[in-house]
Formats: sequence, structure tokens, C-alpha cells
Amino acid sequence: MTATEARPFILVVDDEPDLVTYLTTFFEDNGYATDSAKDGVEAMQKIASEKPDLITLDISIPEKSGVKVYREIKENPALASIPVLVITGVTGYGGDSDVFEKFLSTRKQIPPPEGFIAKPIDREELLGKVRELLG
Amino acid sequence: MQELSLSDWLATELFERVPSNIAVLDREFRVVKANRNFVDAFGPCQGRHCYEIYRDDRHPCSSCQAALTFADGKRRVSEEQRRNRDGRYSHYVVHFEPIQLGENETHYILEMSRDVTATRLLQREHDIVFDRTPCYIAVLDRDMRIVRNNELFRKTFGESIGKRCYEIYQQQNELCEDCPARQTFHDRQVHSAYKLGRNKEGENIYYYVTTAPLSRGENEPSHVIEMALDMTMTRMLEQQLRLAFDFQESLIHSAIDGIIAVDGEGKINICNPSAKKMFKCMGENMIGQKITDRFVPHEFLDIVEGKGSCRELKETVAYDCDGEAFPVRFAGVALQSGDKHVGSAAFFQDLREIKQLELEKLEAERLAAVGQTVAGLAHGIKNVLMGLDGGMYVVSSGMKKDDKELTRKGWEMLKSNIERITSYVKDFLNFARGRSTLEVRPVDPNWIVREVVNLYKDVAEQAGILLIAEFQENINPANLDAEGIHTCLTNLVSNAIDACEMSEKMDCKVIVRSIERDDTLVFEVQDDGCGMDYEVKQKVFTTFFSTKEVSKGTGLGLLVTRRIAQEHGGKVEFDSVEGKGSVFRLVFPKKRLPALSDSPS
Repeated sequence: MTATEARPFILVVDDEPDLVTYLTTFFEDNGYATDSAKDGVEAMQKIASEKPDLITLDISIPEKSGVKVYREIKENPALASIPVLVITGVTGYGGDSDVFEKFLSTRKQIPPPEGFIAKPIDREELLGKVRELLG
Repeated sequence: MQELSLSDWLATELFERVPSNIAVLDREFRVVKANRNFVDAFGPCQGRHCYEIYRDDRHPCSSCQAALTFADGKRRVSEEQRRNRDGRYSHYVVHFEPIQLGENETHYILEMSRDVTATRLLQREHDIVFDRTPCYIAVLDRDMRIVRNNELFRKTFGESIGKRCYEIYQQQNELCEDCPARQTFHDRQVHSAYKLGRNKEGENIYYYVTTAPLSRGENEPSHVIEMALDMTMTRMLEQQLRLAFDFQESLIHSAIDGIIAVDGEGKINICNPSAKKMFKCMGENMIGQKITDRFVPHEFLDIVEGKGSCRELKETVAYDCDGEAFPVRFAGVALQSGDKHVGSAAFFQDLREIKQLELEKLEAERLAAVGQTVAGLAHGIKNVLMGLDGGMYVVSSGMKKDDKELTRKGWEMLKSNIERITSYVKDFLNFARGRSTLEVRPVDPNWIVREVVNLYKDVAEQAGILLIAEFQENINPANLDAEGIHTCLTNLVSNAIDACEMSEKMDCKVIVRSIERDDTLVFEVQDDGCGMDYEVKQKVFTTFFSTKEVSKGTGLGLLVTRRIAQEHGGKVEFDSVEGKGSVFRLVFPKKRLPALSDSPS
């Protein structure tokens, strides 16, 4: 990838419109191209057609859970190399702890996500992680 | 009348007066002379053969004693059966005396007979008694040797005539220390003793022996008769009874439950250690005392008096010796033997520890409910904070880029999160309204239902939803925090109305019910609205999970409802079918409901 080519492309998967606005604005302000998907089905379509360079994934999304989306990405050889940054609200009790545990329990078959970012989001941490993953 | 000399009298009268039947037989066995006794016994007999008279026979007997005496001139005695003149046979002891008139020749025989039938009969009876009595009988001589024994004795101890008693019963070589036979030999009194011996197979035989002197006129008894009753079976039964008794006694003694039993007259005959400990009357001897309601519930006294056979009180109060009340589970039963009332038993289970544990568990559940809610609140606040943070970033980003649309979006984000905060604060207030202590009063559950239904009736009607209450009649007042339960029902009804609004059906119905069954109070809110799918059901009690629009639901409603239910020792249950509707229940076991609050609010 050279500087003249298109900016790195990030797909934001989240059902919360506010968060989508926030993240896409933030990524674009930092020199990335973005698109968003509001549920699992839309996410899979866009991943297949747009081949993003990085995906931020919320775990609790409608239609198809984030866990399922993650599995499909990693089980598909054509998509498996795309880094996935899980943005989760899991912080112990009150969050989607069961979903998170399910996520961890499947790590034997499937590699762990390339990164976790806990809500509330620390912008410096997020940007650092994104830069690290996109080289 | 001429005077007789003694020898004349003897010659003429003696023959007639001797108390025997006397006849003189010649060598042809004919009676040549007989006395009156003889004629009385056998009838007229002059010249008849003896065998005709005694046996109605034509020929002499094969073993004729008279013939033998004729032959050898020796006197004989024999026992014979003879026919009397009335045709009946009797036993006779007969003496045959040769009459020799010349030298060495017996011309006649003097035959003297006596009827011994009665003696023989007695003897036979005695023999039967001796032999067949179900006792061991033996006759001992002064040397302690067995000279006679009965059938049972032989059967049990084997052949033993001539052996010493202790060799037989005890299978030892010395006299027993407490030998009753020796005492009887010594003092001529009857003696008895319980003894353990062995039969010929070597098995233990328990017997009760009585010894009596047998003497034939001497001062010192020549023999002792021993009569022994076999007690082995009795002894075995006794042992088994003892065993059964000991078993039951130790069972009662070591029972964890307190047990007090009274006899048919109401006097205490059992008070086990658990009961004594429970009632703190260790030092007190209660046995034999009349039962009173000092320790037992009056229901038990009814049973003692024969009114009723059984009574169980799942929870009641007992008072110990110091007058201190403590909770117990009580059961009382009448004890019967056949149809007879033989006594009553009271069982107490000390509930103090269980009660304490129950209280602690309830307290722990309440604390956990509060803790969960607090944790949930923190999570919710975090989300709002993130929304505000995000909104601020977007606004400043939009302003920097002079992007009006982005700035507006950021502004909207800030607005909606501020609305969310407003919503939270309302619920926080609801949640944190100092309700860590409940205001518990006896309340008519139907009153709360009526209040909630009245409150929501108009709202429901405007949305085209029918809201109705179904009361169970004669429902008992319960110890509730009326305001708390009101909040719970308000939450459930509001959810039900929302579920109806989300449904595509035109006329939905919400029913609020009060139900009391099996000591449990239930409030039920049923709707035929949209119902819940699997995922929603999984998250019903997840904090800040809401299916409603962001500004409408905080996800706190069911959580608060659950907390209040748990603080009442109850729980929230639900059933839901997607597209068909849901039913939520507040379930309160009545015995877990909180105690009344001390002061009126």
C-alpha cells in the first residue's frame, strides 16, 4: 500500500447510531475511510463486497450476533486475514457477560480477535490499536 | 351259745374275716372251700374249676401258678386279671400257699387274692404324669446320682441313670454352689433355682428347677425329686424383648428431635435428652409428672385427653424453663395398642438454627439484589458517559471542519443522552428512595391491584387496550411494603401495555390477578401482546437491557421489580411466547414475608 493509494478502510459494525457516528467521525478525522453496518447480516454483506482493511465489531448486535459474525470472518480463508477489533461493553456484571464468555470458550477452534477495546472508549487507546493493526 | 377258745375262733372265724378273697383248690383246680369275701367277689363257686370262675374257660391256664405250686410245693405270688361276678375284670395280687397234709405232697392250695385295681390305676396315672409332664423330672439319691428320670429328661439330656446330676446338666465334675437338691437333702424343704445347663447336644438350656424331698419315713430323705421347667424359649423371648426395648430406647435417647411421651393418664414417662436440652430442664426430673401446657402446645393436651389422634404444627412457639419462646416444628400422636389408647408422644424440632439460616439467606439475597442493582447502575452511567463523550467529540469535530450536518448529529447525540440521564435520574430516585428498609404493614393485596389498575386504566384505554383486574375473593391480608409492591405492579403493567402496543393485534388485553394458594401469595400480570423471543427472554433481568426506544426505557424497571420482590423473600417469574403474549408473576411464599415494621410511617 502506498501513500497515493486509497486511505485504509475501516468498517464499523454497531447497532447504536450514535456510536457509529462517533466512531466514523473519529476514524475519518484520523485519516481513515469508513463505512458502517447496523447488524450482522449487513456486516457480512459489506465485508464480502468491500473487503475492509479493519473491522470494529460490537458483540451485541441484531440479526446475527457479533460472535457469529466473527466466526464467519475467521472461518472464511478469503476474509480471515482482516484484523477484527472487538469493541465491547463487557465490564463484569451487567454487561453481556454470557456472550463474552461464549466468545472466549470458542478460542480453541478459532484464533482470538486481534484486539479488544472496552467501553467507554479511550480514543488514544483505540487509535493506537488501529494504527498497530494496520501497520 | 357255747364259748369259743381263741384257737377255735381262729379255726372257724379267721377264714371268714380276713379281708381277702380266700379259696382252697384241690389238685383238679376245683374250689373245695371259699370264704364270704370270695363268694361276694366271684359268686357261688363250690366245686367249680378256678379257670371257669376267673376266665369262663374250659381249660387250665397255660401259666398256672397253682399248678407250679402243686408241682414244687413252694408258695408264690402273682398278679392276675380276673373276672368278677358282675362280668368285669379286676387286677388281683394273688398268694398261692401249698397245703401239705402229708409229707412232701401238696394236697390243696390256699389261694388268697386282693383287688388292686384302684392302686394300679393310680400307679398308671402317676407314671403318665411322671413321664409325660413337660418338665425335666429326675430322682436323685444322696450321692446325687440319678435313679429315675422321665421321657423329656432322657430326650434332652440323654441316658443318664446312675450318673451324677451335675455331670448331666452342667457337664462338669463338681456340685453346683447353689445346688437346690443338696439344700433339700440338708433341710428337707422345697427349694428352687434358675439354672443354666447344657443338653446332650451341648446347647444352653435355661431352666427353673424345684427340688422336693422323697422319704420313706426316715428322718433324712433318701432321695430328692427334681422338677425343672425349661425357660430357654422364655429366656430367648425375654432377650429379644430386651434387645428391642434397648434399641428403641437408645433411638429415642439419641434422637435429634425432642421427644416427650406420656402414659394413658397423661403422666410423663419419656423425656429424651434433646427435649431436656431444648427446654433447658436438664436437672429437672419430669418423669411421672402430669403433662401441662408449660412445654407442649395445647393441641397436644387434646390428644392426651383422647381428642384426636394426630396433630402437626409446621411452625409454632414453645417456651423453655426460663420462659423464653423459641420456634419449633411440632408433631403429636396418640399411641395405640390395638384399640387401646396407651399414651401420647410429642415431637419437637428446634427451628432456631433453621430460622437463623433462613434470615441470613434472605439478608444475603437482599444484599445481592442491592449490589447487582448498584453494579447495573454503574454500567448504565458508563453508557451515558460514553454517549456524551462521543457527542462532544462529534460536535467539536463538526465545528472544526465547519460541517454543519456533523455538528447537528453530535448535538442530537448530546440531547438524547441528556434525555437518557433524565430518565435515569427518575429511576434512580425510584430506586434509591431510602427503600433499603421496607415499610411493612398488613395489606389487602387486592387493594394494591385495584390502585394500579385505576392508575393505568386511562392510559391503556387510549391505546386501545383493555386493562382488567381479577381478584381472588377472601384473600388474606399479607405483610407487604404496599408502595414497593405498587411499584412492581406498575412496572409490570407498564411493560404489558408496551408489549401490547408493539403487537400487531388491534385489541389487546392486560389482566392483573391476585392469587393465594398453598401459603403463597402471587400477583400476576398477563398480556396477549407481542411476547418475547429467545434472546429477549435471556436478557429480561439484564441491567439496562431495553427493547423500548432509547428515551423510553432504561432497563431498570424489571430490575427494581426483582429487587423489591427479593426484599419480600419472593421472586419474579415469567412465561412468554413470541407473538402470543407474556405473563409475569410476583411469587411470595407467605412464611418468608418480612416482619412488620416497628413504627408507623
